[in-house]
Amino acid sequence: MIKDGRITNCQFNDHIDEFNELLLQNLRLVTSNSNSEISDANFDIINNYKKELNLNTKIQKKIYMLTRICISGFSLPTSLLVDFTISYDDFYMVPVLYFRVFQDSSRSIGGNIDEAGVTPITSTEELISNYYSVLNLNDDLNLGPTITLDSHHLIYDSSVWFYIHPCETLRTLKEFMEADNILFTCDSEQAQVLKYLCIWYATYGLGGIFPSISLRLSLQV
Amino acid sequence: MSNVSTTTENKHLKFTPIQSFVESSFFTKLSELKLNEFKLDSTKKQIKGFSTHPRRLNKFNDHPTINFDYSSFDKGLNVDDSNISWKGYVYNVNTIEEFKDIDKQATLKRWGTEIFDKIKDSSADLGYECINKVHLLAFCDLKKYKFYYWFAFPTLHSPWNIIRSEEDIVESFIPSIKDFVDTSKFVQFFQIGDGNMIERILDFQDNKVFVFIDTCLSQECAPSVQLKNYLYILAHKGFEEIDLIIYRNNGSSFFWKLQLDKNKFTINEVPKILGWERLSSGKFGPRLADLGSLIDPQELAKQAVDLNLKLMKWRIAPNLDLNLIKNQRVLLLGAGTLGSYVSRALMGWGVRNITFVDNGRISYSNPVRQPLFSFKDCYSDEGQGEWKAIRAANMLKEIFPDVQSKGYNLEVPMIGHPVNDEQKQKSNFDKLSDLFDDHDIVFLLMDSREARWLPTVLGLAKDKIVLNAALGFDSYLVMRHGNISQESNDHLRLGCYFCNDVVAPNDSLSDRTLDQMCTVTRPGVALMASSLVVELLVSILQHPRKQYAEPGPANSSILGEVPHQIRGFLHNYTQNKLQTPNYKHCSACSKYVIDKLNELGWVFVKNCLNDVAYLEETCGLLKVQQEADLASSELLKDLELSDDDDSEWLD
Repeated sequence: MIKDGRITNCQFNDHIDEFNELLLQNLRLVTSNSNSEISDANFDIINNYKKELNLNTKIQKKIYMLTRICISGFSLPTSLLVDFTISYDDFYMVPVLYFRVFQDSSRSIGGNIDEAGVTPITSTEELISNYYSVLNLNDDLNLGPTITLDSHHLIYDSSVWFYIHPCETLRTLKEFMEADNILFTCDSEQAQVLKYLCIWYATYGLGGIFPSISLRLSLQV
Repeated sequence: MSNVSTTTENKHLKFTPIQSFVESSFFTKLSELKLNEFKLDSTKKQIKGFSTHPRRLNKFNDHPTINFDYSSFDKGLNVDDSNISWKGYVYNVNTIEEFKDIDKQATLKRWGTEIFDKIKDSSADLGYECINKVHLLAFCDLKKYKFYYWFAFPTLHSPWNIIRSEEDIVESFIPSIKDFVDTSKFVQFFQIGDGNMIERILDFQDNKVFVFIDTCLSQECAPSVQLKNYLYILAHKGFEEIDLIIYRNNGSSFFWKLQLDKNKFTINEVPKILGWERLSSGKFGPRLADLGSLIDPQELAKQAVDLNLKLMKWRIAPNLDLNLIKNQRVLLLGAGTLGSYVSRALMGWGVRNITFVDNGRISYSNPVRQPLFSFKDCYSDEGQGEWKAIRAANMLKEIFPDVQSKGYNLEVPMIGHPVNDEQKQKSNFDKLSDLFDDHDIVFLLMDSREARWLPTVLGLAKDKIVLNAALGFDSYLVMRHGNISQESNDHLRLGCYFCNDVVAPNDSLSDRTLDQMCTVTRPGVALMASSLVVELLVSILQHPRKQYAEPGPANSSILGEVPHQIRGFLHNYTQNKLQTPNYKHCSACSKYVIDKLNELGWVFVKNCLNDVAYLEETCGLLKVQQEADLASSELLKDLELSDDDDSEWLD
């Protein structure tokens, strides 16, 4: 069961598969009615895999799920690829989101090698100026939670990811989890952890950054 | 996405091609290996990829995907339970020409032939990693962090036709296949008998059902293209008609009864080989990953600095104009303790254009107080020590490569120090004057009072934002100089550093004792003054009236007040805000002085340097002094005893 409004690395490991399933089945690009130019946008899940680390060692097992989604449409300059990972941060004791955004021009142009590429977008201005409508970003440059550029805590290399800093996640999630109507005593641990992760997704996960990439749950959860 | 199909007389066999997915840590690892291990060695190196284990596939896995990341170079085959791994090689060539010139068809044929040879060798035990291999042709442009790459997953063609695709027996096999897939070590192709699995190809028997564990859940009955190699093996081993279950974990397993078209199959000939990955447009061609912005340290520093500042904007002060700060060109007069700290605080605010002026070399006492210098700077340049301005500018670039920093080794002409080398001093004046023109903001950070005079005059004449920081032993003064606005109320203009003086500044350096020759202050004072003066600048810039902003709480901007002067004292730890208007006879900022400078330029400056009395006359201080003398002598006269009084006293 969830204690103190937070989940443990173990609980994360035990239920991440179910959450991943839930995410894949229910992730939607929610186009707002007022914005007709994005209504043609397509949303695809391109890749989704799980990596398990620290196997055969005494250190606890770490897991990350990597997902690539593609958003395309006539109103966008190029297709947009969003890679994100979900993992558990032992120090902050919360799930963390790392993400990257790429322009993918290979879908439209072929042949010319220099143009048929995938280019990362690391400037928030560029992201906002070209894609804010489809991602439902605010044009006052407010990207919601605190984003920094950092190396990935589980992928050991020299490249960087956008990272939602987890300094506030624990407290905020605890407030949500302790609200009266969230957890029922009759909930199984799985149900509780899934609720927790859904709320996390919407606040400090991808949905917290790009409100239009939304986890629309059907009522079975 | 187009499917590869083999044409047959009967029903087509359709396959789903493999997609590669490269997480960028694959490329960072590859470049690291290229730099440290492979170097110019372009022979093939082992890599491995991984795919989601077939028991974990979901409906989004409509293509077989092989993923590559930092772990692709790990030795050994160990992957976690969630994935299965594929072996292969990377061919990392040294030039883009080599990459382009490689004969792609011949290369693919060679790779295919390797599989063919293994199949021919009847003693070889063919595990799935030996049959379905991964080949990667790559070129790393390590300067631009561009990676050109093209994957190939070679498959051997054999002519099979579907003669039947309905079969009731499938369902009865599924539970035991599922159990085998879920619990046993991964095998991709096997035979199923009476509950037994025959895994070794050498042991395959006639009349038993074959099972292919699919690595994708494509909508149509198009299994992963990896099946082709197993079919080729069967053809090669003499199977002519087979029952095949394509197993999937989501209930969409299906059955094929296949027949080999013997007329089109020649056993000893290398078959048609396919396998280069197509682009997502469907065309054949290499891919490019341009990862500079994720890897290039210089790019990263740039993005990180900006992003860090934006956080302040997003979280605390949404109306903060960061670009305004970033675009300021700042001139620092003095590259000592104050100059060092001020430049660092400016960089912290994202200022990218910083110029130092100083005429000194770094001495042994400097580095401990001046954070841009270190021990070796004290004795480099043939033991003389580096020039401060030059070293400071270079150091800023070392700290943050995106900064545009310059250093000028230049002596600012000082009031009270007569001109003794006119050519040199005039050129210093001209250079300084040009530097003022090229910058928006000037900081006065020198260690003497008289060195601040000319920059004060120039700053006002050229309408620059001038900030001043000066230190005492345990006190500091931080202030901004007033600017002449278009409005007519010039008497309200804020004063400058010299406004409270009734004499023009003079040579204070010549007769100083040793303890006065360098700024003798409590070391923390410089940090306090430096931070305050930079924050004062930022407050000015964020105020709608900029340098014309009036001090005081009534005229706050988004960052609050913009004071005129801040004086701090360490002996009692107090700090005061002060505000004084300009003095109309000020030796530096009075209109008389500015007008004269504009009129005469260097000649005016030369006259002032040579004779302070000339300056005092120009600004009217002389007259003020004379009037004061007159007034006091008159006062004395008033106090003098008259003869009459005298006589009275005598009585």
